[in-house]
Amino acid sequence: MELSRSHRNFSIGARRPAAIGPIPTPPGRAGSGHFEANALPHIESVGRFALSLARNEADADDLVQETFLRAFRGWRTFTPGTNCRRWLFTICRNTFLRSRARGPKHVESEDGDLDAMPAAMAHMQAVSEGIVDVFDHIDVRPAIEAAVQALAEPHHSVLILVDLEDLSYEEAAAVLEIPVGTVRSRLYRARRHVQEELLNHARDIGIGTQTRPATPHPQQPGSLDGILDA
Amino acid sequence: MESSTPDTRLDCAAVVRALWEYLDGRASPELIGDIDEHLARCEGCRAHFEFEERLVETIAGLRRQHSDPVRLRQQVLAVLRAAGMGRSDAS
Repeated sequence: MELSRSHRNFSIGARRPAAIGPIPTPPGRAGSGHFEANALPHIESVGRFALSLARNEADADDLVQETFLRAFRGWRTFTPGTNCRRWLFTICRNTFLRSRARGPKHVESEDGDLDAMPAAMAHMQAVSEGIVDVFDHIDVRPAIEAAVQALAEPHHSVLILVDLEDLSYEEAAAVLEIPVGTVRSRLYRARRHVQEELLNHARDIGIGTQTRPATPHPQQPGSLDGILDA
Repeated sequence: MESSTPDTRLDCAAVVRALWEYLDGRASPELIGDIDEHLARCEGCRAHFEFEERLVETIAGLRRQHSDPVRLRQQVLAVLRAAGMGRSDAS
């Protein structure tokens, strides 16, 4: 059977291996001419990221301006030759966080498996409800976009950086100043939430009114039964 | 074709745990091979992977664009010029 596997064909799967070092902090020797050449090409990219964080354009514009102003004033701390876009994303994210009141400390699992497993169970449930073909029945983009926009921090930022801005886990970890394992767990949780919202949307609009048996696992029948016990 | 040697193939639970690493291109070549082998014979996991792949593809396509990037750029440049950009190149 021919499979078109994503790790070869899928743009996200084709993401290059990430091995870029930590956020640069030692003093550099970059002049403002270098700032214009290195930082200004990223205005649009930072604008997208700011829009994702602030969620409205007026606030995003302010955030972008503040980001570039801080970057300009702190340009001597940028190490020439390192990833300027990532450095700007870090400033943008930190500026955004400083502009908001901190909520209660978020406690989360570091184990992405805990979200991979419920996602699989949710898929099996969707199969049994006949809603798993939602992609073929409706334009899912509005529902998925709404679900992404509704994601709470800290999961929203991770999903934006990795899935929309195409940063590697390591690059996202550097921007967010968190361990790679935390990026992984937050990303998987964010995707699971989006999946849940999409399936709930399918239920709400009446897709899958007929119940049908879940697609069997012919090689290991019932082998997912204990998945939540793992 | 079944082999008479001990079955070391991944089961569904192990494959599901590796789903996103696989889709994100972070799985090792050996794990990719094992998952490919599993997906070739397991309709349920294959359907699940294809669903998640379409989900993440759709998310990746959501990149929001600023409604007026030219204006945004002008705003940023104005702020930077006011802060001294272009006046002291070696500052």
